[in-house]
Amino acid sequence: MRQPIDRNKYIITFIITAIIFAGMLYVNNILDQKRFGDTKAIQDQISLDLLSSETQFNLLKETSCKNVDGSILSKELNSLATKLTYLEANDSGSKSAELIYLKKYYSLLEIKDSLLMKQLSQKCSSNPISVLYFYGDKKDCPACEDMSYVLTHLREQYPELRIYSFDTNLNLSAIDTLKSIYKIDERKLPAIVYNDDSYTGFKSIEEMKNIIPDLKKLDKIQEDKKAAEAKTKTNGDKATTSGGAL
Amino acid sequence: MDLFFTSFLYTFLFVVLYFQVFLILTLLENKENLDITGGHTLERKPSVTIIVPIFNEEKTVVKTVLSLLDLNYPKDKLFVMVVDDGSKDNSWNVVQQFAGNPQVLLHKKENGGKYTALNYAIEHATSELIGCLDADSFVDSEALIHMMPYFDNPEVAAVTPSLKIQDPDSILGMVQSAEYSMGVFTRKILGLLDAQYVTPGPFSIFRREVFSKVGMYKHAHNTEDLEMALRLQDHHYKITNAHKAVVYTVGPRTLYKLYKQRVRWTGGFIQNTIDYKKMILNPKYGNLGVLILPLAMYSIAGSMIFLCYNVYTFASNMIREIERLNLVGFSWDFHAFTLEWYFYNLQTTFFLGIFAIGVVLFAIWYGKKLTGIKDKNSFDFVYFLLIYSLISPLWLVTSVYNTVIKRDAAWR
Repeated sequence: MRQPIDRNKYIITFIITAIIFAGMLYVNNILDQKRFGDTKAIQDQISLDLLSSETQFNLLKETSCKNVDGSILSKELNSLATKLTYLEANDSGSKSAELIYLKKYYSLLEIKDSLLMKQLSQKCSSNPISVLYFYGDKKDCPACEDMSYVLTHLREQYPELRIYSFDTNLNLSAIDTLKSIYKIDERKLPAIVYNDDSYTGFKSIEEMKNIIPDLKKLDKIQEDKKAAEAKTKTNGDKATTSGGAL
Repeated sequence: MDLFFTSFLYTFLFVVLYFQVFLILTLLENKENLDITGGHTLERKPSVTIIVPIFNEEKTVVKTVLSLLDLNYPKDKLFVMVVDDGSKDNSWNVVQQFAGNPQVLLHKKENGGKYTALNYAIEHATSELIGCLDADSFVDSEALIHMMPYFDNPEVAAVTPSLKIQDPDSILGMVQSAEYSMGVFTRKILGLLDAQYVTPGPFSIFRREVFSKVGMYKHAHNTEDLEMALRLQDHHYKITNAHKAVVYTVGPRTLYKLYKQRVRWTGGFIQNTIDYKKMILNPKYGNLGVLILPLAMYSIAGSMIFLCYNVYTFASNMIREIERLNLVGFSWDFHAFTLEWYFYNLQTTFFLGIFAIGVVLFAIWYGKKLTGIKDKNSFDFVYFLLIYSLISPLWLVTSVYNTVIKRDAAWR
């Protein structure tokens, strides 16, 4: 006689499985919350940094530019950008409302940071290198992914370069205002704004260097530095060699 | 990850988890009465014939026969029937050394495939029980004595043993060793559920009368041992497992040979299950019909979908990476190596994966424990975890492909 099907066992198995499954989902949810919480904490930090910078800037208005350097602007923006990219890439299903909120908040911080940087450069006649970058969804803007690679690469190569990126699909009025100021056409994304001039379509590394001549200057400084180092090293080697001969 | 794949992934993981929980519950339910050897009486010793079908096995056949003659069983009740299935090598001459042995019966026939050799022997055998041992396998001397008590139950038509890999001395051997240990556990549980779907070629023992009732072995997509088990199940015979009856088999030593073997097994399983599709989801066939067969087929289909998805993701990532390299040249991606917990992929799938691996490790450990024989390869599970999932897609794809084009895998 074949062992009959034990319905109760099937049901108990289902309940145990469901409990384990729900437990795992719960742990995952807690971690996700913590992740979003961490991101929010960084944003709050940036917000505080910006407020501090603004205050510092106001104070400086009454003094000289001597003590001003880039460090008063928030350094956390890049790290936040990396984390948001991760959240976006690992967001299962449709974009969660929380992620969109974080991105909007991040965009506002970027705008504030860029304005502050602009004011700072005018007041202190410094020349910071900053670029505004407008992108869209992959289906609307197939070249945006390529453009992101180029910009990420440039940011790694030139830490002096600040890139403020804006997702045009966010429906954020501040971004819409920026788009109208720089006359960005959403059908011609990606778009770059440098020194109040806007450029549309994909730009290669070389094209970007033509748009931002300061990058070439930085290359030149880097090359000179390397050449000087090589020269010192050669002299040092010569000295050692002659020392050895003696 | 799109919504469709995420839903599929979660459903798949739920089903896998359900199966694992079911196995463990079955074990807990039967923990006290796993071993019935204790009730064995010496008076009851039915006669047994072990068939050794050979085809070009001159190197191993003698050792196989000697291991059978060494079984702890009355000599007047144990017979070894060697059937040479038209070997082209020296096998027939080699086995002549047993010619004078009253326990060994030597037969030679035209080549017709393993199942024909088995049928030939069954027709010539007169004992109460019949078993088979492939010429690449060797039995533990206590194997038969451990199996007999299970035949005390008149409903039992066949008893399967526990299989172990003979001296695994390579990485591939270790992988198979752990896999076989897990098989010991699974087979025991399936036996308890009346849901074994294979009576392994090496040393499964049958009541001879069963063959006259259900018929002889068939070609069965080159997996006659699988088809026979399904046929017995179809006739509602009981197949049970004697976990302490240990049989050693020589696993394929090269990846290609392992691949060939597994293509035959997996393909054979799929095609035989399709032949017996009436069992699937049919409560008349108990746990086998309602749970085991549907789950096994589902896991094959699911693994194929995963494989396609992974290949697709890998290929599209590669294409994107090549595009990136074309645009910006080589640059080291520091973010990939960040130590912040933030970037670790601690998703539900990750936790469920860890749980599933935990159950697999438990099954390997318990399988080793069940046989009662101390295993020297305590760390074979490491090789199994690292390598098995990388190599199993090889035969999975071919088996599914063979099924689609209706082609049987070759024996060798």
